[in-house]
Amino acid sequence: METQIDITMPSLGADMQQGMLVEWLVNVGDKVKSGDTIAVLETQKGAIDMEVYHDGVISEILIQPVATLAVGTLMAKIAIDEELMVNLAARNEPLLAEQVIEKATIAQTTLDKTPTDHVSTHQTPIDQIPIDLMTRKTQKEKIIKPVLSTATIATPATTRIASPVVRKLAQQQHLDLVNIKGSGPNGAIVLKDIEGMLIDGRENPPLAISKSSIVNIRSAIAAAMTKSKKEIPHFYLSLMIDISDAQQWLQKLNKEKSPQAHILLLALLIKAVAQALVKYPSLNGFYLNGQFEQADDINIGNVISLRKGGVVVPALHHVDQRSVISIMQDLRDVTARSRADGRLGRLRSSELTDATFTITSMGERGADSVFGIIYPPQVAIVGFGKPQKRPQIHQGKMLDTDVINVSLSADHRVIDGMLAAKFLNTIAKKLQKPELL
Amino acid sequence: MTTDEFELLVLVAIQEVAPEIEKNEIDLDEDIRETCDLDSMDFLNYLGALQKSTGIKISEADYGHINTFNKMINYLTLKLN
Repeated sequence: METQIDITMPSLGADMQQGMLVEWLVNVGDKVKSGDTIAVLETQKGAIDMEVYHDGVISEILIQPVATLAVGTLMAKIAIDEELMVNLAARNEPLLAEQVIEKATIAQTTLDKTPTDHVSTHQTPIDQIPIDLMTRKTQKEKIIKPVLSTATIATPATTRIASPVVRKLAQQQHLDLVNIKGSGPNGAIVLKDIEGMLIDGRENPPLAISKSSIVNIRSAIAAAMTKSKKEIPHFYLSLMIDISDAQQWLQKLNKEKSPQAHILLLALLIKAVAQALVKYPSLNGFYLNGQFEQADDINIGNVISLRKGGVVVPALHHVDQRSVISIMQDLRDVTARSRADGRLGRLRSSELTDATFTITSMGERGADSVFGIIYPPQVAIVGFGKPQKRPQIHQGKMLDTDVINVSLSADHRVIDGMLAAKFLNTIAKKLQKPELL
Repeated sequence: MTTDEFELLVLVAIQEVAPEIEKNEIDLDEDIRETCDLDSMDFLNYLGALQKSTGIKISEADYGHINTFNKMINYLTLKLN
């Protein structure tokens, strides 16, 4: 039996309230697999590839780009084989199975109620939007933040037939297309209909986008960090770690390698943290509804600073189960996609929602130490200072050693000082045997 | 290849990772990571871009010879001419 599942504007973080649909990458009738990219979204965190979380066929596309939509707004529907879905869910995740059935019912009701012939009629009020099924994490976020009291934010541009370029320009320049007479097929508004209305400088909209994306990233950081500092009782501690063996091991490994195969210290640090999280899983997860929920996977968000200013924190998945080389490949890939303004691809929605723990690292040119602010609803963040040379006394002898300062900012509602110290010492221990990482 | 051609190659490689940087903003004798604000990942990508355009593999052992703009020009000149 086939059922329809809603595809909605995803929440890519506790701080996100709306996103802009820029482009569909699929058409009605296209077969998709879970994890496929179906649309491009412009969010506070830049342009993101939106993934689908089910196998099925795109059955309806309800919103045309460019449109700014509140999180949870119905955008499209996917037809899936319900039996297959329930069987799969039951095998992996009993909780999810119940949600699927519940969801299927809601989706059906929504389908009955919702006419499908006009794009503009799909501005579903937020309170009627069924619970999102995308991931357990997204649902958790919805619980912390039953978000949004306002109705869907849809641009006037979506209510008239207009060419994609017109919609894009209207969106950028805040033009209201409602009263414009279109000269295209079926009265569609085409470029020449709005030419006189455009503010000078149409040739450089990319600059405008880039400027506003910096503002957006700043306001996303501001929202998340303010929430964190208001709600989370942070405490901090740090440890100086001897990384001489790790540095020597890396040097040997990298000696003859080409730049493309080079392994950075950061990949080792990330793996060491992941192994420490395996030992102390009570630092890996979320504080929700007054209690800690341990995460099943170890997905580490790595803070990447952008040249134009701001940061993004994409997740590296299942880090504990991956080799250092594979982590390094992922780091290269995700850094390139974060920094290249779309030239080398975009970040995927799952990368912005799946992190269970965060690492921030100063790199070689940074400061001695860094104490991060926890990204809610996570419960801890590790900060690495820059690697340094320091003399140390070892068995009465002065030795030239490589050291790095590691800090932990932790949520005291979940974690106590002694546990935090043990966690840092475990990272130190793991880094003494780099060949085992 | 002339020095001008080498300079262009190096500049193009830098701009792959730091598109906003112009030649006149680079202190030619300062550490390239400092003057162009490159982190470790940018630096690897810069070397990777040069390897692609020149075919020369620069390994870690040689980093001391290529850490400024001018040193890189000399290094490439020696290797290629």
